[in-house]
Amino acid sequence: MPSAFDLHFASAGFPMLLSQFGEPVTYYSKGIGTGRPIEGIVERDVQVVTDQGIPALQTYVTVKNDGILGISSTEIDTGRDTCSISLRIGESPQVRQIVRVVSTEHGQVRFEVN
Amino acid sequence: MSAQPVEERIAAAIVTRLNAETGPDEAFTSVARVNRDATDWQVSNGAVAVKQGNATRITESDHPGNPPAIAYELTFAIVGFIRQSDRTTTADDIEINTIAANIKKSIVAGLTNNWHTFGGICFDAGFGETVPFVTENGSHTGAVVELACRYRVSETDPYQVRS
Repeated sequence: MPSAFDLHFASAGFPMLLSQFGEPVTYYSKGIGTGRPIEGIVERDVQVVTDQGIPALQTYVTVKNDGILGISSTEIDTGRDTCSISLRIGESPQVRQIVRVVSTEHGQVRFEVN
Repeated sequence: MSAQPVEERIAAAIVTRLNAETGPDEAFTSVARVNRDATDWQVSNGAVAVKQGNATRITESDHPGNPPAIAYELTFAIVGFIRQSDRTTTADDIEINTIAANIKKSIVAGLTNNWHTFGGICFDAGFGETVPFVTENGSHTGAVVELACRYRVSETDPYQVRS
């Protein structure tokens, strides 16, 4: 069950953050179809090295926990879903794999993109 | 002089063989040798990354001559990544065993008698350990397949393959 803070932040706080820091993101359920255009806050260019010594990208996206304006926490499938984001500001968007849900609290869904 | 050093030719041959199994209905979704930036590839279900390891001297396989032929064993870690659907009922181990087997099969594919020479570059090659893994943040599982390639080069020209 969401707390009172969750509900207030979801209705007032997060939309404000999204209006200031959000950018266009396209969500592809199961990685197919025409995609759902939504707004998301993208934390990009986090370079990591996997345990196997291979460089990889670790980008985080935060969207509204909503099946129409964002992505619902109950619909997201981190094994199949993809989203289209710009890896660097000004670059054309690329379709990347959603690989991990980091948080579903406070009316947001925050996930990791590789 | 050949266009590429011997080590690079072996690595390219491995990637070419793995790439033959890449596509929507094939064993792997992508095959890559990853650069520092890593923006042109992504870790995903069925992705394979080829990482080159150490080239170790094997002096007992040297051949005398002027210049002599010196022998090396070059190891590669071929990393297959698995990320199943959240709703899957298939155990990860099944997919890990499958991608490890497909990596080995695609390296050998169609060349059962002389796959180990990689087109006359190596005098021997063989698979080492297969090591299952889970990434630190739990986003992917997979398997690392070790491949050791043994070859000789001229002491004075690392571009020249020697028998």
